[in-house]
Amino acid sequence: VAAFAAPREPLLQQLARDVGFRLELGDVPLAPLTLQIQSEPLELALPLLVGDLEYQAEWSTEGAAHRLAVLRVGGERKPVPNAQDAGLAPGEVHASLERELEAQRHGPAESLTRSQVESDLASSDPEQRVRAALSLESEGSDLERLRSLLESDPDPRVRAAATVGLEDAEDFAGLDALLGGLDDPDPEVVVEVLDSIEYAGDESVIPRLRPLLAHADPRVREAAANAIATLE
Amino acid sequence: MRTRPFLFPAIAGATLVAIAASAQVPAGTGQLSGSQSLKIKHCDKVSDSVNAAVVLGANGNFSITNAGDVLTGTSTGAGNVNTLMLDAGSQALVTDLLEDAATQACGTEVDITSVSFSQGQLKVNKRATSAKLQVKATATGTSSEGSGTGKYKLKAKGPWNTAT
Repeated sequence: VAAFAAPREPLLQQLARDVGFRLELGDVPLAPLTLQIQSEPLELALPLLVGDLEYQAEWSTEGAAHRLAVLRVGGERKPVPNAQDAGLAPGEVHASLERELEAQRHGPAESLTRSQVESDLASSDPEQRVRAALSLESEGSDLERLRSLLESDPDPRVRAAATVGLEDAEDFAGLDALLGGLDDPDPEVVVEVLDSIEYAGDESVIPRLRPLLAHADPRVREAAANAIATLE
Repeated sequence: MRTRPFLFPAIAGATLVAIAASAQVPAGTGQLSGSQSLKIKHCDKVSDSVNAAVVLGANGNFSITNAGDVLTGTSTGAGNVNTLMLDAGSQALVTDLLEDAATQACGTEVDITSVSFSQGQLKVNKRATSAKLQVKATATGTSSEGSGTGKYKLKAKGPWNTAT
């Protein structure tokens, strides 16, 4: 890694993709980075990359291999509301997503223009943001938008809608973003994330799913069991 | 030299556990491409491309056609995943195909004595526009060199056209 006053977030994201760990960024600003790292082991390079920010690294060991699984930088994620906080009826997250997808399948094939998508994503109406999320591509810069929606949109229906594009991504970043969604505070969003991982994942993600077999919500436990059974 | 492409290991005893279905892969068709391989200890690994035409009916019956071989069976759905179960005729066909593949891999005549099916799935994405076919199985066989087991894997993916 060689960087001169480079934005730190894309560098960390690139490293996460290259090395294959999950990156969780907190809400603190990340100062630009100047450094050069050649062949240092990752555990020695991490403090240089993260700088003076608080960070937490989770390592996993498989056989003789020791690898970084999760890197959390800059404190806790901004809390996002769950369906109950958003005043939604139980099951509404999935139901609203199904309605939108059904409308897309059977409705006229008209796609939103780029400016409409941008405008809808900035809307205060969650239903408009859902439609915009479903219009995003599963590649390029849209992939990062989808990740951001799943991470931090205040409405669980929008976070659930982001899983639709993420599961179709050919890039590992899509699956990585979905794995990040397993921590969502809303069980209905976690179920949608699990359904998408069941489609997009492979057996290597099973260790990440097993803890959800003990989740407090039975719907999550069932979805996790189904996903594991499919991916095994 | 293998004389036919091999595809899709059968179910020995059809002991798959079907999960209660609340939804399933929507009926439709797909042209799925990918690869398949059979790996046998102390023999070569053989692999081949797959270009399978998949048809799934609303009643869960399916057919998979690859290189002229047609496999049929029934499926049960849970979520966006259908678990596939081959009928008896297709199980016999698959055993023949795996024997051909194992004979090629080992360079000697192989008789398949059993096939244990650990995965046979058709998955679609939430948009129901793309499908994945995945199969895993373990086959046991004998030859003049002794007996052994082989691991079979198939992965194919492609667009899915939902029946209207």
